[in-house]
Amino acid sequence: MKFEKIANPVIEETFYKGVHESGLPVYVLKKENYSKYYSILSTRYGSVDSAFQFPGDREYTIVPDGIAHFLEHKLFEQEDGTNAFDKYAALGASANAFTSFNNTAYLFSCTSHFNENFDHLLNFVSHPYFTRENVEKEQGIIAQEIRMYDDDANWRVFFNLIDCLYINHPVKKDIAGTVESISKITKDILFDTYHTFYHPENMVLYIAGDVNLEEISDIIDRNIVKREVPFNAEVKPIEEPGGINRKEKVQKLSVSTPIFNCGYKDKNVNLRGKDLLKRNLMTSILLKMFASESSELYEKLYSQGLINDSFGTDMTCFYDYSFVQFEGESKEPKRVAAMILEQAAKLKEYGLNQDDFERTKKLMYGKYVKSFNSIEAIGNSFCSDYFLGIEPFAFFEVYEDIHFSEVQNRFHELFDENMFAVSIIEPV
Amino acid sequence: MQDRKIKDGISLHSLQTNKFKTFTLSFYIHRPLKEEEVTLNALLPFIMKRGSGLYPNLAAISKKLEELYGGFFDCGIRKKGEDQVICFNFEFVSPKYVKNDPQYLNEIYRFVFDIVLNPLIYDGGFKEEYVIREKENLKDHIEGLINDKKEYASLRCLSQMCTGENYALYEYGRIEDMERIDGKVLYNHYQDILRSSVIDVFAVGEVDLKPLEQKLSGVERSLVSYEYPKTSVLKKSSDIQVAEDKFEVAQGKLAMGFRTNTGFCDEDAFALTLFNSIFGSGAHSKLFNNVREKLSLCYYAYSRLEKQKGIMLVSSGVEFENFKKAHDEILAQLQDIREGKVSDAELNASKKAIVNILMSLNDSAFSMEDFYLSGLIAGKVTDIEEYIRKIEETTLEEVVKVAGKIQLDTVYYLTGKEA
Repeated sequence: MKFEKIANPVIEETFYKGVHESGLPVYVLKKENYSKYYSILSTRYGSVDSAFQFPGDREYTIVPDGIAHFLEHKLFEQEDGTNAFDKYAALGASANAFTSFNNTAYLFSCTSHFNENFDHLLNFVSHPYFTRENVEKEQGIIAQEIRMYDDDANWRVFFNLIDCLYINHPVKKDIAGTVESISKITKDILFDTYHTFYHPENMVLYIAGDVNLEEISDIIDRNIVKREVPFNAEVKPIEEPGGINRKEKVQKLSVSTPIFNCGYKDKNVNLRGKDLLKRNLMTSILLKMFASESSELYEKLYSQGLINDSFGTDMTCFYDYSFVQFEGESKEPKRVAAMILEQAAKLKEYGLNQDDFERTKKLMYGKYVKSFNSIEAIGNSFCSDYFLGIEPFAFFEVYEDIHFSEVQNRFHELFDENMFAVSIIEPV
Repeated sequence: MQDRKIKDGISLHSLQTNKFKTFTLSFYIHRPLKEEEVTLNALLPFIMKRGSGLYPNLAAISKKLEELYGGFFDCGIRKKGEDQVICFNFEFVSPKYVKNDPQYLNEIYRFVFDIVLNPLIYDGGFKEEYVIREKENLKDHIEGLINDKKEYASLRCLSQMCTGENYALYEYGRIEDMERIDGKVLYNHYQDILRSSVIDVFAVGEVDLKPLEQKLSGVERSLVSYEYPKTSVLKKSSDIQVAEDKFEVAQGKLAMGFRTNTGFCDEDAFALTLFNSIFGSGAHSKLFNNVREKLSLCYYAYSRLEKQKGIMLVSSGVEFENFKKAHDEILAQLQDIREGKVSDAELNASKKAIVNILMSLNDSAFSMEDFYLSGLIAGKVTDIEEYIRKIEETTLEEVVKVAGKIQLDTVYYLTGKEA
């Protein structure tokens, strides 16, 4: 396998990029002075992908909600009766996996025996073993996990917000599905879904540490086989209306103080690559200018005792959905939401402050540089960026190109009162 | 890590390295965990985060951090045995990645010193407005413990185990103490502890430390000798205690507290660490593989050690009707280790898992500090290489022996309300 070197002299970091003959893209971050190694194999298949179609098919194949997450659990089961964790454990690695809205990722970190661990990662993800019995057993475990999330106020408040913002989009569904939906999962559905989406062309591999590129190539050759058919599944496009589903959702759970998530659904979607990265960087800058501890809004809310230091902002996005949120605890969450809207209206009238913009831009630079301290953090953001068409170090070019006037325009676009909703968890 | 004594009770631990993109600076003020001052200590970081002499409010601090390329600052409390550590942690992008800004490092020091050593004072006390607000926040924080049922169950179990001991105190203090605290009381306390506490300062990165040393040598001292707060290992022999709380929850939590009868500095502490890994720490452990995987009894089940206090805590999320099954199975797994029923694979995987964690510490400045700090407090710093060697040398017999010393103390159930 051939690798192309992508070096960044400013932060003194180097990626090696290659495409395996199977179509699997491979990215290596060389970290010569680190004790740790880290690798993630990620597939572009997540909780939102429950309806898809093959060329020539007239009908969409619909799979039960929660299947991506179920697959993630099930891939750890090996044909010889062991669990994939066992071998990692024998090799001293720390391993995990996660399913998000759009990806499923398998990862490990270790400080020795990298090659063996890496071989194991590629091997077990390439060898699904599903039986009727092991599927039934997993239904029990995942049902427990779902019930655990049912009590988790922070999880609930987030999904209730998405449910307010989105009318059709499956991003509003719980990642693990429901106890009912997962009961419909069978081994045949798992195999079909696996063979469709765990296709080398639909995946990406990231490796970090003091590794040897030739050895890595050999291990990939041994484990990843070129498929006879190219990746050809098409996920059903989602028709999401422009507006929001509802303005407000309140649920009662066992918490001491109400917690809230409120935010705006973004109208500016269907971007990719650098355009998307730029939109996201501008969104981050805006959220910080608007609501970080240095903002007027924060000062007002905090001094009136309406928020505490759990208050923060976040954004969630993929090609076809994007929203931002304000989150925290408050005795009067509705007043917080009202003050956010008031402040947005005020700033729309009087304009944003350019000094705030310049400072926040500096912060974004530092944050990016700092992220290279953690090979895990870089890996995780690399994988989600990759599927959005964003290459390593694209940050620098895009960052230089962000101007105050554009951020002001973006503010007017994103902070649209009609696209705002509030989710609250109240004490029982 | 290089250690330098700056003054009585003040040490600077530094590591010059270009490995990280950042320069980290931390200050740890050690206080004995006890009723008289637990809430004062807990409140202090909350107030000091609100403003300092040069940066008198949240916005000023936050703006300065943004100007310093997104510098990180936090302060809070860590409980290490019966040492209530007041922590100030800072992290900044290394000066080498900040071009065209010759004053950058000076600005960092100016900011850091101001936050830690030059608090905002009005009329001989902290600003009353901040104290009132932060007392409320701390109160909410304490009342909010029940929001995280997993953590709440662990805390309840621990405090039940250590009833009557200082360790039972929650490190964020007690609501009943707050009334008597005002800006003056708290400022007097700040001045007092700055003079009379052991203070550890850590600096990791590639920067000139002279300004830091200079500043630290100016800190006043008031005692003849300085000692870290001491923690006694939990010892008692009573019946097993059972405690229960009811909440509106769908899933129960089971917490089981054990006395390990092994102290941080004891020779068999390494065997205990290895025991814990075999028993319940990680995907290779007996609890994970049996209680979770084989019997599908719960979504999580793990054990962790409170090494300074000689406690092991098992936490688990279980359906109410499975409480007894999970409880029995956890004890059965412990019994297996006591009887030496540990495979070579389990033993090796556990050793490797610990070695992996230890080696990984080298890649994070804050993790390295915390490991080192625990050793300093207990009075025995084992460097990472030495620690790895000790773990690798530990035999199954030693694990069995240390497992034999472990006694169940308290079982705590967080359960649902009847419909």
